[in-house]
Amino acid sequence: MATATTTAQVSEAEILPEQQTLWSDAWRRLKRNRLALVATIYLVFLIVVALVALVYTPYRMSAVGIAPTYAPPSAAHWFGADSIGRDVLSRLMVGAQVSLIVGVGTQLLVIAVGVPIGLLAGYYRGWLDSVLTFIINVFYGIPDLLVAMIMVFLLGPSLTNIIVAIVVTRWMDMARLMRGQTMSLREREFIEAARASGAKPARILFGHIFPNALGPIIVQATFGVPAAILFEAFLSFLGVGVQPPTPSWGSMASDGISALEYAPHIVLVPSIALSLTLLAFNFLGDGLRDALDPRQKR
Amino acid sequence: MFTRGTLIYVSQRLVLIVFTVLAVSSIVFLGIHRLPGDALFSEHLHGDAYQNLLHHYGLDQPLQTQYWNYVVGVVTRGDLGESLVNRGLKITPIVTRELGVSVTVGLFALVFTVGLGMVLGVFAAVRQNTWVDYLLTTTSVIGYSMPNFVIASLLILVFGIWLQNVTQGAFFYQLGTWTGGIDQLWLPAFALGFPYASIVARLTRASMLEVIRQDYIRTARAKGLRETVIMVRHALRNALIPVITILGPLVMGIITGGVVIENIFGIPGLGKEFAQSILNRDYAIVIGVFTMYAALVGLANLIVDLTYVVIDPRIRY
Amino acid sequence: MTDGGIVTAVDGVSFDLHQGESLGIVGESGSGKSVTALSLLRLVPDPGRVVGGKVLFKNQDLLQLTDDEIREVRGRDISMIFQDPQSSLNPVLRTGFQIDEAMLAHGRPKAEAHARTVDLLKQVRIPAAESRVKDFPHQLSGGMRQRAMIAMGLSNAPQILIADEPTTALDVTVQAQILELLGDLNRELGAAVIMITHNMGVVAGLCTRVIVMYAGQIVEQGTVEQIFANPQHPYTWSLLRSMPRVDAVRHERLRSIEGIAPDLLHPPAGCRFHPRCPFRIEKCYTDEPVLEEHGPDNLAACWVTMDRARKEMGADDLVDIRPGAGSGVHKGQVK
Repeated sequence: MATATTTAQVSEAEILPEQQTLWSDAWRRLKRNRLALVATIYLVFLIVVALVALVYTPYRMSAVGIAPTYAPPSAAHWFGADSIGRDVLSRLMVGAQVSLIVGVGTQLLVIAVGVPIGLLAGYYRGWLDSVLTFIINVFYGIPDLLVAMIMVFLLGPSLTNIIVAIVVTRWMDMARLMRGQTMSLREREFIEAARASGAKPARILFGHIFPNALGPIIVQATFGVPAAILFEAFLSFLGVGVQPPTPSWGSMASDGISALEYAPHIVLVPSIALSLTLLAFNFLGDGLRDALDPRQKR
Repeated sequence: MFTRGTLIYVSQRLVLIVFTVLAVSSIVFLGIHRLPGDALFSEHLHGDAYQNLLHHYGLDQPLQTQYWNYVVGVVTRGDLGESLVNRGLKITPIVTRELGVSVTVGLFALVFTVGLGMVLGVFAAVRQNTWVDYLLTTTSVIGYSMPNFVIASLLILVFGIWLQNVTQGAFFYQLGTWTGGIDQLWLPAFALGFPYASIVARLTRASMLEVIRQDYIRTARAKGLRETVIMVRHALRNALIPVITILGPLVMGIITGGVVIENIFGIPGLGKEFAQSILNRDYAIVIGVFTMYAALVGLANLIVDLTYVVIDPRIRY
Repeated sequence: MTDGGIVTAVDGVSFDLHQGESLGIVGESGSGKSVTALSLLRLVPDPGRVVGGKVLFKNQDLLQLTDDEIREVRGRDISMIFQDPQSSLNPVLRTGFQIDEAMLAHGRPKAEAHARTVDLLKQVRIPAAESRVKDFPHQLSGGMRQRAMIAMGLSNAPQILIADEPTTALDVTVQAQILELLGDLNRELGAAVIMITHNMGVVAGLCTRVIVMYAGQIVEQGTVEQIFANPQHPYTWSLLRSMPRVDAVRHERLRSIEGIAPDLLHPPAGCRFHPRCPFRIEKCYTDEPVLEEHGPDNLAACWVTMDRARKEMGADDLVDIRPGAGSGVHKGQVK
């Protein structure tokens, strides 16, 4: 290291090595987790399917009557047809897009909203923290599904509005997490060092505290995705989600309930897809959390 | 146990609940009333008949007046107004009855959830790494990863359709008159509670495993106590503390999940009413049901917080 | 059994305890003293296991008893109290109840147990015992919690009380009080006390006999007078030397034993202390010493012994007590 380094650069060098070993350690542990690996493979497959659906589906997903209604799975229609003769597989593929967009989109927004709020509350404490915590608690007191239903209904059932509705009712977990992380990180010596070297608060918050809380944030977001997908499935199931002809796994399932007895595939196919996807994200989240936990012995 | 501090806390929380309910339902009220077109659009009326209708519901008055009348009505008479779709139908009695139904189903699901989940969790912890444990851990992950309508569909498929001898035919279609009896309750309650039972089981297991390694368990053994006594009296009570922590979001989940379950099974509760009213555009009922829900959630959270005090003596408000 | 292999935490430890005696077991962390004590009552936690030996108490081998039988011994004939009273008491149960439990578990009727608990709390000098009984552990101070634990341990008038570092988690002033209490109880009640500690001062104040453990083995044992006046094992000698003394000459540096305790997964060959011993000779590297008498009331496991170290290596004048400093023997690198 050259002798002519400034103080700011020195504190950079102090922080980065700590992070590097944490990530490479975590990556190593994650690779060993079989369930997480399988989950990741499935999710990659799902993303591929969703992307493929942008340009190709076996049939047009909105094409009505191209198969006998309630047709069971066959060579022509791998997953059969629904109550008005649409190809289930094609709709399933497009539905994957909806789920992924909602899942990932909500979490990105939740991070954008929750992290700053958490940072501010945890770093400045005092009255700002009290106000923000109060707001967080008020939001926790409102029944999320109901409010989201009303919101989507009032604003119109577009994908954007659904994402917004979910974010509005579910940002608090990330904010609370970030607040906790900030409160414990701010006491660490490297923050004092940064402060002592004259770093401005914004730089401390986003340059030092945020990167160190990245692990738990990622884990929280990974668990948030299936929660959001589930939320959207509920909304669509109840009829206040995406509107036809756009398929959502939730609305596909609710369409099929009345035909459960003689055409169970209409409900089962999207249900299994949903369950597998949620399962995969949960396993991945578990794996990430274990991998990033510094207390693990291995 | 219930000290002066607790009573003060309870009253503070009740005030907060009232405040939250008012605030939230006001927002919904105002939001709905600012919609383009209005509630009675579907009536296809014109002229005088239309004006009469507007006047009947007070919709011809300025928004502030409407709001004020509404709040006064709720607070003083408990009057949530009148249905917009079915004229003359008072909302409050309907909603109150449906509240009872939803609470019954919800409580059933809650008891099942927490009860079964806890028992299984303890069992798995005590028999760690045996087949019982592995079975539970795998099943529980699947349990909370499946949407409750998926579980409900599977249950209906199995119990309502394939195993008809168990429930005398497709009982799902027989839900015409709601008796509230166990035979009608158990399937929806199971579907509603299963994801949460899985979470509770997992959490209880993890918590028990940690508690078992604590020093005070070693002390209990050194005193010569029997293993069963140690597990139940010493370990379990401590292990439940983290479980109680998630009880709040869990109850909330049961309340909102109930909306979906009621719709699948056709149970005449608040959830079914809510979904139906939104689709019917019967805003008066939507607001009324929502207000009920807000109050329910507030009270449920308060009760959960009070449960802390019972379980963990270190917590006093 | 750990991820790396089997760790023998206690290797070939054997000692006697006489009625009413107070025995100290001294050693640093990892020396095996706690595990030794836990094995007496078969409380060694999983994945640990007692793989050999006997524990003879009233003509019975405790290791051969059934689970029910050993449960009767625990808390009644032999009691054990632990290091951290905060974590060793159940936070959600009342203190009095936890003491009652010890008696109820061994057949005493409820009313009698309640009454005796209050008496016990008084005996361990907790003020306002009657109201303290209903308190939860977090409502008591550290010293009171430890006294409550002692009360719990004595509730069934055991013949042996094992105290595993009972004062380590307490403030210094409170430590002295607890030790005084234990000493008084030992005399008044006639129960034998096994005091496990890493602090030689505690042993000096309380015990009549002492066992010094290192790396899972006994390296020296004897009466307190003998060991303190004339320690034979270099480890004991170093321990005593490293205690800062009020009357020491001011300019002397604080002396410590260089090196760290050995990894029990791969213990050193020969004498386990040789990598850190100032007086080691060639034999120490290859042959494991056994306990032999090296004076009245003094057994030590050493090829050299301090007697020889003083005579031939000028131990008393040694300023620098690094490994091999006295004997001048350095074989290979010092770990």
